[in-house]
Amino acid sequence: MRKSVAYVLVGIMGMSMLLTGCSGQKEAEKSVEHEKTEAETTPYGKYEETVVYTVGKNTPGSPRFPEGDDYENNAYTRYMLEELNIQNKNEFEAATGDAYNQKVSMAIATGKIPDVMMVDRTTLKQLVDNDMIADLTESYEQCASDRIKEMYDSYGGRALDMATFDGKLMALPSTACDNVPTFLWIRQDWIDEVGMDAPATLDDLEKILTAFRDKDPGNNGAGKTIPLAISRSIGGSYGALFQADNIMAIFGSYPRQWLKDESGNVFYGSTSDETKEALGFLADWYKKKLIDPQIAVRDDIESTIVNGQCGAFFGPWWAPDYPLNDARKVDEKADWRPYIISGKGDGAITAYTQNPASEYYVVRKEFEHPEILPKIASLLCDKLVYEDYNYEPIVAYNKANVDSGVKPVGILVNYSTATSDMYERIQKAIDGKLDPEELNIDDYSQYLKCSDYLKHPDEPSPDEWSGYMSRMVGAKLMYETEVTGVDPVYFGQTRSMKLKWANLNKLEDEAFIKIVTGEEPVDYFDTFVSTWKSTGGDSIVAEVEEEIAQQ
Amino acid sequence: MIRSKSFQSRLADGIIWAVVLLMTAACLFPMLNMIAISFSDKSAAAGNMVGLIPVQFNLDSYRMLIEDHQFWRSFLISVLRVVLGTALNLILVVLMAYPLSKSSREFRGRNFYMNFLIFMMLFSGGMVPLFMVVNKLHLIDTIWSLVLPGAVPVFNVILLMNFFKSVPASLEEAARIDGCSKLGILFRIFLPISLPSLATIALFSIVGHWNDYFSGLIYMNKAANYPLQTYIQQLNVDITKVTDASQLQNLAAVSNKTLNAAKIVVSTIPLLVIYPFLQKYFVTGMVIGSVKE
Repeated sequence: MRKSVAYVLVGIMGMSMLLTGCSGQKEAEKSVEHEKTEAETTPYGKYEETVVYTVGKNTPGSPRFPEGDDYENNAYTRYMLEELNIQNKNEFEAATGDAYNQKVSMAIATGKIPDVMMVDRTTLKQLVDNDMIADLTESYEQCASDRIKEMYDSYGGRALDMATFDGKLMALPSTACDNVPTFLWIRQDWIDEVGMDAPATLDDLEKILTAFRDKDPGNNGAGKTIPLAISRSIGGSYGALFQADNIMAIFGSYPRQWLKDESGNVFYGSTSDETKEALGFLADWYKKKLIDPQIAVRDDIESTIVNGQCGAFFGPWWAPDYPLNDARKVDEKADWRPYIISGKGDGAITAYTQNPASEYYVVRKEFEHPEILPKIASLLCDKLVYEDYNYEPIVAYNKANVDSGVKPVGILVNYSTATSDMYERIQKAIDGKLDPEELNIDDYSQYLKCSDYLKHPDEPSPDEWSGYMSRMVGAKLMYETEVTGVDPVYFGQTRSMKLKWANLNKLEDEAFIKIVTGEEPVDYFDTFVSTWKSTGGDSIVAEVEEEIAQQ
Repeated sequence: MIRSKSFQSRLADGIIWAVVLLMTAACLFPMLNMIAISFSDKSAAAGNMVGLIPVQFNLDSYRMLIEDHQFWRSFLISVLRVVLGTALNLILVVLMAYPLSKSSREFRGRNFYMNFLIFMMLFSGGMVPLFMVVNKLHLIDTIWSLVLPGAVPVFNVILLMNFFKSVPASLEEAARIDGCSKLGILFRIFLPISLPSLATIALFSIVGHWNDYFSGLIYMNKAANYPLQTYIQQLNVDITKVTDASQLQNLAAVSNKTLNAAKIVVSTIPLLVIYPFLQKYFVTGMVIGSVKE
């Protein structure tokens, strides 16, 4: 009796394997060669018959669709249908992050991936190894617009290199434009209150922060002021809020980056002697209560900035949009200003650069129209931005605050200098050298805020202040600051990283925070480094060297 | 009134009262805080400046919530899921627990089924195989994917089985002598006396179905089909990084704590309404069902 059940089970399993095997073959046979039409060889050629493509859609937190619209039918999909005659059908939709990654893993596990989807680098490699995605070399050549190619080239080839395997372009990456240097954002009104000058060096900053601590310019009550807020992870996240990267770079430390030393050896930035020195410096500030005493448990740094407890933090040019916009709404007098803190006070700084490819879009191997991806990229990142920026339905979307993440394919391609370019354009428009009507929708709305700000700079509304402070002050400072870039040599994930990296990361996080908060002495860093090396770090360094050598 | 209470007993009463009040407060404060945030000014909420009383009272977040049709869609899906799922759970649990409560002399396969159930409770196939089964059965993106995989909660079956076992055999005998069929015995004798247990199981099901976000996350491929808790879970987005200026305008909207608080407040209302009706059975049901004679 039991045996027969087992036989039946084995039979079922065998049959299902045969069936899936068959269906796989059939699909492969489908793709027959045929004469290519104009639509298949040009960026903006329109297909004669509607091409329906399936998508794995990573969704934003809250899309805020107008009534009736959804991820398969909205202003963007209608625009794409109108322009290229293509329509998406979503195989799955899931929030960006874990939920989406899970769906992608499941799709790969079941062998049925959508025609177009976004993946991270590890998954990209997996898909390439298993021969599941299409070679895009030819379609990119033919169907990416000139401007899109120019944009990718502005990263000096690094962006596309990340998606190229054995000379074949296997994915189109979203680009991440330069967003360094980050600045010290500090309460100018507090500096004035304590009667000091603007900071330029770490010494200046230390004096100001000490005054913030002792004189309580924000009237928070004794001991409640947080002179400087820093993230629990300390540093190593490119262009992000609350990192201590600016301070650490002064010591020559670039945490969480793969770098090469003078003799050409690969090393991990978090384990360098410079990092030890930088952490020691931060530990000293922590001991002096210049850094948030609750750094180890603080989840919501933004709230301390908004409610006026915090006096300074490091952040990118867009900090006035978030979180300073809320700070301004709570307290009109909160006068946050950006400053460059450099080693010698001359304003020249070093910063590590980032991976220019932030995410990868791939096309399923058997899909008949692999050129659809470069065509979509050209349409959404070139034509829509530079020609059709007045396209009424999408303008209406922007006004109604519909999240731009509702595009069926979220690929973002832009120049590496996008932020500085934006500053230049808005500045020109303000100076009257450029007709504001020619600005794209995003720039135009910022231009309006900036020009409104300039009409009454003494009492701007919070939104005008945010627009001006980010675009005209922050982006300008970024544009004018001399940065020596330190290029990390590796961004990917090696074989053993899959197993060991999570633990090594945890070890690193804990060591950093323990040293900074004084729970362990600075020399604990050496213990951390030797544990890091012996529990997998050394072999990963070797693997990284190996992979770099292969490139 | 008893006046002759000793000092110790009054002290003990005081301490008990203090502890109970403290615990009540600990449970109540987060909810009150959430309600206060939902009625507060957005920036004040971002600055963690709201305690138990709304700061700059306004209804903006509720006004925005009413316009969010996906919220209401998900709300309806959740209600449907609870009704369907709970009904299914109750039917299957009763039909399974009754035969299992008989001895293996009366029901020959009993031990096999019992061991099978316990085995299932201890070892599961894991998430990916489960997903593949649901996928192959074409349940993805249907309400059935939310109710069928968990249609037989084994723990509840055992709970009810033990309760049925504790029903005196003489009751059943009497019914049989009076000519009642087996199904009749189940529905006319067993069910009426096990109402407290059923209420308990129903409550478990309702709460479980209402609060579960994970199955919605896995089995629903369209965001439009998300049940409410999945929808709410998706609101938590971590922002520290922006790669393109065009993403900036989305930032402020995502960090809207007041709107999210309003969503959570509205989503807890159904359970708040149901609890008082079922709670009186809840305590007795647990005790009766779990104690074996």
